[in-house]
Amino acid sequence: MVLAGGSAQAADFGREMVPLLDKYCGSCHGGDQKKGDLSFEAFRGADETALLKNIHVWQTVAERLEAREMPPEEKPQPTAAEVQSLMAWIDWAQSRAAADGKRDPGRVTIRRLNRAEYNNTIRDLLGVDLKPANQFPSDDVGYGFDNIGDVLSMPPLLVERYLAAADRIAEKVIVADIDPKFRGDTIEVEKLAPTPAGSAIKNGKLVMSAAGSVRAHHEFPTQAEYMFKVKAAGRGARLVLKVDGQEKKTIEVRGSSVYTTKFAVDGGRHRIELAFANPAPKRQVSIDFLRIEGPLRVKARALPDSHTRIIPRHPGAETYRDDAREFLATLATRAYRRPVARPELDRLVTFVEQAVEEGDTFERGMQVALRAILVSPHFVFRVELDPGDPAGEAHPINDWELASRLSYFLWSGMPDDELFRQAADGSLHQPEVLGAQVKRMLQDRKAHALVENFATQWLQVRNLSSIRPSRRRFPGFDDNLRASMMKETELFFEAVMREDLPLGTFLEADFTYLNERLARHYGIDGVEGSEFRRVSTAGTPRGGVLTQASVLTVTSNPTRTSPVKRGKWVLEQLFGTPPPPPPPGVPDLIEDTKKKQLAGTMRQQLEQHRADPNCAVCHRKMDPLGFGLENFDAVGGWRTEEDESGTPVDSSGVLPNGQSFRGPTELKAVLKTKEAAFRRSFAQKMLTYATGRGTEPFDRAAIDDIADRTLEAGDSFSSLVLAIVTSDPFLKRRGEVTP
Amino acid sequence: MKSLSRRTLLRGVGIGVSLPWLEAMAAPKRPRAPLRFAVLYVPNGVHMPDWTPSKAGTDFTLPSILEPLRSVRDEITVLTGLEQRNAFALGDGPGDHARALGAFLTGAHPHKTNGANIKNGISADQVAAQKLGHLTRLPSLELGVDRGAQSGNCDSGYSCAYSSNLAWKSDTMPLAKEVDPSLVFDRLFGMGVDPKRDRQKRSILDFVARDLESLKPRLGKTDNRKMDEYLTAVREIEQRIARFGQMPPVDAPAFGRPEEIPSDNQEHIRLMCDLLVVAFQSDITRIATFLVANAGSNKSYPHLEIPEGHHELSHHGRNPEKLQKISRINRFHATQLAYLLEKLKSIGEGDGTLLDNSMIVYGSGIGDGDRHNHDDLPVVLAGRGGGTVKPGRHLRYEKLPLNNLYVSLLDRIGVPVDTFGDSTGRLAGLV
Repeated sequence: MVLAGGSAQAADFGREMVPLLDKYCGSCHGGDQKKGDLSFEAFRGADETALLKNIHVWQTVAERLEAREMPPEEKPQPTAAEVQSLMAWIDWAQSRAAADGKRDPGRVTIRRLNRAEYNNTIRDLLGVDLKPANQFPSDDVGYGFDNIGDVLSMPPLLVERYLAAADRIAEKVIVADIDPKFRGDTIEVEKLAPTPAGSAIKNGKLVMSAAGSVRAHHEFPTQAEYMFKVKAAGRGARLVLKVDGQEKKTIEVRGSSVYTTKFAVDGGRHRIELAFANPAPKRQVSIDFLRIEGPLRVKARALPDSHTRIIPRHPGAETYRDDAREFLATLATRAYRRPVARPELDRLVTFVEQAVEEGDTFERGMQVALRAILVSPHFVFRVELDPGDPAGEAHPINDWELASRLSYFLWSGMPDDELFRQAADGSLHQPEVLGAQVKRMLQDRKAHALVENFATQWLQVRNLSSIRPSRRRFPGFDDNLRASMMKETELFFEAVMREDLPLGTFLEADFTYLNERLARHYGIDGVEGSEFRRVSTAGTPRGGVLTQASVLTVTSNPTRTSPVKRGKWVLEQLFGTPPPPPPPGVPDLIEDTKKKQLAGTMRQQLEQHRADPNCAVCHRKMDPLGFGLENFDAVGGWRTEEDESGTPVDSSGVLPNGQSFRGPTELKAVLKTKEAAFRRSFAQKMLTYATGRGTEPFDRAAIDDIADRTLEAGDSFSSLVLAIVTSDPFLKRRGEVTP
Repeated sequence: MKSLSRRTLLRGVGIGVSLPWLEAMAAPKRPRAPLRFAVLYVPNGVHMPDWTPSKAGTDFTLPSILEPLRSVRDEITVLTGLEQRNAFALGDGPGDHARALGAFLTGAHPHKTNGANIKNGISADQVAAQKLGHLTRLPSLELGVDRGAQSGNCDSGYSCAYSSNLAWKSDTMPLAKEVDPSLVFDRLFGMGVDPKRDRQKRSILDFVARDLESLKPRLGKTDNRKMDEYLTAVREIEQRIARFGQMPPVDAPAFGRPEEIPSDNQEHIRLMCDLLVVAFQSDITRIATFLVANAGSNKSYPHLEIPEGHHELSHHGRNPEKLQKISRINRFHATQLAYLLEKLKSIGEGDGTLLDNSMIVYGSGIGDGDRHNHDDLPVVLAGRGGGTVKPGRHLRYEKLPLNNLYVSLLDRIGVPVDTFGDSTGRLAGLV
């Protein structure tokens, strides 16, 4: 197909595209028909500018066509030639739009905080490391990561958990009653429910003779220390006092007495439980009552930092509304990660007013306001707004939104004061400011989040926790080794990040991090003790992510290595070129083995499998890569013989382009020659993680730019991060589609 | 040791739970016990020759996989020949595990995507929950054993949303499942009524709803889908708080709050079954789903002396040793089903049992794990549906949509629909 100049192509739209769109799409997306909010009517006779301005519409058309989703099955289908002509025009429009600088920066779907982000944000906002999100349902994964806006949904269960978490957090960080009224509540045994098996109430006493527990709910007015008194009798019986299932104190019951113990409890309703922990024949325990006294006085000095940070001074009786407004403005600005509008603040102050009017303390009111903040969509979501008309245009995000994009990318948490300051004075988006911030942020302790959340998902080693290698085959594998494997990969990634090493270090390095357990696994001498240290791997087959036991284990089956899985991992995770999965109807290796009576080692079976041209297309790419790693067993240990047969391991391979190698070191040397492809793929994955959306065909140019600029700037880790942070997809967003 | 003693306690399920409708037993007009509906899913298909009884009708013998169900043989209906056509590729290529789970309870064809535009269909349990949810404390309960995948593609270009969720509240919203028994316990029994706190909670929810409403006009279409999800959840919780005040209190059951996720798979599954039973028994909910393992699970079963991964094995290539192992894993899962059914059967309700008033569907969206076929699915229906199902039979069908079964069950639970997903009618012969 000959591509003519711009105006000629625009004319082609009228001559070639419009009739096709009318013919195949018009009944739903033409005239008055606007199925899915899309009509092509507006483009009839449109000029080039209008067409290119809506490049995302054409991209969607291309995607739907390619996926054969449109036109729907039951409608007439375009011929192959017609599809080709549509696609050719869209291709042209795409490159044209890119050349015009009208590059589509994409539009990320509003992102709610995922579990890690929620925990870190609470920590940074309130100064308490409660990790409340550990009780949230897990976040689903899309495009390889768990921070994708489209995939993070909001099931009712999660909203329930938000409310519960907010409640718990507020009780923890704010002391609701600084000068509480002391009181004592006695809970008689009859109120302690239920009566467990093997127990009875006699003369107002509960006698337990078997394992069991009794419990009651009790309202604690505020976070403070409380006195617990249990009147009990028994001989050598052990009663465990629990709050919400957590063991607090153990009471050794010796004779009949009132046993007293004291500990801190958060405000709110809690389940108090007394469990008989050591039943034995002839041993029983009787309980008369449980008495709870308190709160014991909270001294002003003893207020937790989290409290004084939110409520820095005691409010005046007359001025409490203004005080509340002042305190809440600070809190909500940080929680919402942007300035708070006056009406928003008014509504928050109402919570304090209501509480005070009902006779509660000011601090109680602040607790309720904090709870409201924590379940507001402005906190739970990362809101990015279009700046008004004209909608549909790409526009830079504002500096507050940018501050959040930076902090959630590099820290999985909220912006700190410095980022907020630069957002407030409007300087954050300036390239030199961004550069300085990236350097600073990568050195901050919080950048460990990039290791925990990006690296472990990129390398798929998060799955290590659920891998169960066969105990019979690998008796040495235990949780200690598992944890050590993970640690090595984390420390290695962190070193590349902190020391700002070249990206190629991931492929090949002469160092790693080991403790004694892992060094022994690797057969490397001279590493003693459980702590990790940097170790030279010169002269060993180790070095780079590919030879780390974590990676080698997650790409294996429980009993054996899988050259196919490993090869696929290399193609997919390192080079971003996943082989298509086997077409339907094609036998997999095992079935093939049976049918054709393939025999011999795994390698020989795979070689015979590849004799089938259906299989060869992909396996020619995958298998050799995996063969090169065959010296590593299914838990990443070195081996020279196959596990079962004892035949020598053959770790040679030939790639489809004729490059050949023998063993992991030569394989890595071959992969090093493909560093450009690795850089680009790594950039693409990190961009996905940074923006929280899957990359689209229109991101191609941006990714190329990022890879080029990284290389120009020295190919270091920070140069990649900076190239991402200063790219269009990161700095801008497209408005809502309105052709 | 700790877990052992807890297990012992848990076996006491059934003691000390008040049954609201039972209290009315002596009254002249006894209210009929409500019907319960649960769906359990196992991944990777089953070894069909060891699953399918050779004879149809009442005179069938339980094959080896189903043999653990002998004590409840007369309470189950084995259904063969049902299919989920929409789990087939239909031009979308590989990804049968994600599609099988996505389609199992919806009859919809999950849209192939790694993230953007996730679309499936509402699931049958949620059709029921929409209509009946207001009658109970929780509209429905979603249970599981495996957390969502931690990283990577879940299945050949399908987002993990499809491979780790069984229930779909709408075509775009999977319902997250709870895998931690202690959190399930809290959810079931931690909901007391406290007028002051409830009032605060309502005003907070109201605040959130207003924030959502004011945000909506300023956001895009896909953003608004999230806002709507949030708003729906907020409204639901508001209604629930209002409802609680009018419902009779539920006592926590005699067993304690489980303290951790059991490391043993069987114990984990059974603990979830225990919780499911008490939730039904005390009428906290009438609708539940339980994902026994995520789609395509490659879990190994060391306690069965099966060190290989389940998924890996399911591509058995007719290898007899592998088939035998697959069959044993299937049997292990059926044993857990038996545990659940026996428990339901042990609880009296009216003049029958809790199982009599239940309809428990158990099955997989894949027939043979090696072929990835979605016709001739392994499906068992347990319970008598309050006398509307006649169990103790093996019913053979000729390529009928599994959704026909759901339509029939929805009839029975009192939420009749004309069609559901790809249903073509009602499933004949259940009674």
